[in-house]
Amino acid sequence: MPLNLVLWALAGTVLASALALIPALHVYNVAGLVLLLVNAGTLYLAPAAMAFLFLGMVIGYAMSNTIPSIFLSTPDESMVFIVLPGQTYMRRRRGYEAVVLAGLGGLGGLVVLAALTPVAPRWLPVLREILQPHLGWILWTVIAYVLLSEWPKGTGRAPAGWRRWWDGWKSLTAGLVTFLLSGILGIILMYRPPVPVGVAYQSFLPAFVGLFAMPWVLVNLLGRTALPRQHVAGDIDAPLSVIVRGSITGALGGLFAALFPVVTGGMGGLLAGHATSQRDSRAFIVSQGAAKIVYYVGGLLLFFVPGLHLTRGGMAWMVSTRYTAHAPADYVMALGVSLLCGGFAFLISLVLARGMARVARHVDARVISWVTLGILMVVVGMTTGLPGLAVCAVATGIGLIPVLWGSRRTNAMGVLLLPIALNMSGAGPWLAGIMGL
Amino acid sequence: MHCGSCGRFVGPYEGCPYCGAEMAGRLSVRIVKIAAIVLATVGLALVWWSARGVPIPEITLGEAGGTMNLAYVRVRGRLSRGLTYDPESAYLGFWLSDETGEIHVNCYEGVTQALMAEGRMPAVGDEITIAGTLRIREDFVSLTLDVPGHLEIDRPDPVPLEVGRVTILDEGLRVRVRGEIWQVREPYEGLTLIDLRDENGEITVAVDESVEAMTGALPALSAGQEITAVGAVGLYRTTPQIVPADVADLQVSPLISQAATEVDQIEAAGTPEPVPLVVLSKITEDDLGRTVRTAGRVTMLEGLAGGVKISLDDGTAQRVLLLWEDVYEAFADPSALDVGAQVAVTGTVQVYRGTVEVIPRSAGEVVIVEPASPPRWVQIGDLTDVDVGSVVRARGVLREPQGFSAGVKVRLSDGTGEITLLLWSQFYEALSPRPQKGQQVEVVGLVDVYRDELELVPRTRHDWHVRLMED
Repeated sequence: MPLNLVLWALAGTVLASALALIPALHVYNVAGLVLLLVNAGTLYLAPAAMAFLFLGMVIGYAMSNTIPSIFLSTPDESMVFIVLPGQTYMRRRRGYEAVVLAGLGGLGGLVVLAALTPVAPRWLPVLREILQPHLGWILWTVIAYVLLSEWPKGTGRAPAGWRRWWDGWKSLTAGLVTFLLSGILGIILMYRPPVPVGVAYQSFLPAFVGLFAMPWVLVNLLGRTALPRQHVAGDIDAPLSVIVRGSITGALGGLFAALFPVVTGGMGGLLAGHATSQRDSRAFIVSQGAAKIVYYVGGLLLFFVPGLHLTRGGMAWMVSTRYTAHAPADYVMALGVSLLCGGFAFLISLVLARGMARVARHVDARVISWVTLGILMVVVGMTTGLPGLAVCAVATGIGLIPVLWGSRRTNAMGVLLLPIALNMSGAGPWLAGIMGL
Repeated sequence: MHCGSCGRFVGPYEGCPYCGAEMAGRLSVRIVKIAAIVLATVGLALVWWSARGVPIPEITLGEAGGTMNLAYVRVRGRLSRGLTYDPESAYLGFWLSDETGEIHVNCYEGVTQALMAEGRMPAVGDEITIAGTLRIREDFVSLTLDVPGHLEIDRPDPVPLEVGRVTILDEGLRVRVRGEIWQVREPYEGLTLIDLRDENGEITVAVDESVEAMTGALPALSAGQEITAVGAVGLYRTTPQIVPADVADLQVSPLISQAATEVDQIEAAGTPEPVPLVVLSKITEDDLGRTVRTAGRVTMLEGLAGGVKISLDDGTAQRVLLLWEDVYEAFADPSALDVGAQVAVTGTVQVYRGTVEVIPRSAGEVVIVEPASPPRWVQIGDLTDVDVGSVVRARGVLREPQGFSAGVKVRLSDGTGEITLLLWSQFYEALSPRPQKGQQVEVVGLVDVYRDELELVPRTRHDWHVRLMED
């Protein structure tokens, strides 16, 4: 195992773990900037070194981004489901415990990935051949499930008739509107991205920042939430069975997300959780941690399987522009590095979570939100310029709808789900033509 | 935000979902809601409107770099090779090239079906303008056509050429040739090869199953039919061939050709009693003036004023076969008579400066039993002393010709190196157009060495092909 590649991966893990604490800053944004510097010749990185640096980064990020999601309520698209149970833990002064549970899930996810190693290079290409012709309708069923599995919420106090109907259905309507609007935005970005052609690989960055990061930042700015004093426990209130069950469930969802285009780890975890009738909030947090790791790391690991030619997730797309795995040894090495970095990242996340638990209550949440807002705008502006900021503003408006009307934020994944599903069904070009794109 | 009445967390709700209390001081949330709706709807409409008005950025193929992954761009180029069509999945793919690079284009089911319905299927040799999504990989750049309307095809008018004049330098050029079908082959299922001949040479028309799947089945073809074929010049390894865009580009005459008729007449009349075959070692100066029939393999060919001199070897001896220009030029394909060819010849024995020569009176007295293989293609930079004495084929651009006492020397460059072409006077005088600086040529010649420097010596005018420029 070339030592320099291991060191690059470990460096990526440390870097991404630290950067993951910056609320709403996604590892893909940082990797995108690195890729930009490499392509411009400003930074020299050998293709293999870059691939393993990015692998380490995605592991560090996937493990540590639970911390701001729980303590600061700023999740990415794979962490939206963890916010509510995470908030519950945080309000009960057990935020650190929630981070540990999610981290244990992540480790469980890595163990599942390792267990799949003997069969993955042989079975995955076959599985892909079988599934490939069916991806279109499977994606539509995922969309249908995500939309239909949300139930009416209301106070039940509105007068009978249309007003009561609206009281219950306004959140569902908000979800459908979010899905539709984000889907239209996705179609525009896919067929005629307004960002400069030289940074097209980041054409969806403004949309993702606007749909998922900005709304939480704005809501945090509007709110006056104070973080309660946190307790750093010496043990966790969860038996091994809960952790194993959560890990397996989450790994199932993560694998589903890693294999299928567009489906994120959170969404995969949700589907798997429903499929296995999961009710325990501890198992849910564990499963979300596992799903997230398997989605992020597994998706990138699939790229290292020789002959599979499967590019899943933004990191794999970026790596694919400069690196190709040629031998089974590349995959084995990537897996070994993932396990090493995963364990390392878990330990780092414990340290960071303790620090965050101590520091966060002493820092004004509004200050953090303002700083986050500034960082996000700088990242979007530097990467995609004014057109990107404009797209980000529109996406923020769409992303605020589910937050303000109490709908699932995952509906905003319509930005990818709708155009990809339409394309897979052959209707995408037709619709783009109608839209004049 | 917490409820002032029950103290529970209410988030952005204007009424507490637990106790129903009205939440005071929620004006800012209302404003945010209105702003969100305005941004989401009006803003989205503006993004849509501006996206429609913004032209698709155009790039050259060489500019497609890593940070353009997933960019929606427009590129222009010529469909150079690899047109594939799978009727089952309706997948269409091809390679597009320009001066800066090459890219693979993918069209999937819906788009391909729309193109077929509109009768706008591309073909090798077409000038293509296409807009789609770039996919950059470490070692592979592709573009996916998402909207059928974003494909523009310009099919150039074909350039009329004689069969024997089509060379490797015409790659990509759309040509029209006319000739006689010599044979129809199917080396494997899905590929039909039609060998054409005219008085200048022969060429193969390659009809892939993709073309038949897209444009219909080939008409019935048989040897001896006259055929007019329109298509782009493609390459099989280093041999030019014609690739039609449509089976309708092959116009076949129902009549059997004159040549085939003549062959039939000769066969019907019977053949005269042949002269007995003798081995080369039996042909000596004593046979001066006699007519002999012999056979052998060509081991050398060199040009001379008024004809070509060939060394024949049958394992018993070597003799000179002298072909005067009128005899040599009468061959259907003079290039078939080159080093390696097996020939049977009937001719008169002559002795010139002590050398025994066999001189046929007409091309009909020379039967090419086994044509010579085409000389191997070389890159000039790869030539070494080991190649001296071999006949090779190269292409490149000419430098300024320099005259000397017995002819003209001109340097040939192909990007890998340069070599001197030695054009003897009688050869140089026969060339039209004359060699000039900047001319692109394909040349066959004997590798020689002079003062430790390699030279390439073409022997007949058939060793020399100048690229026909489209304009």
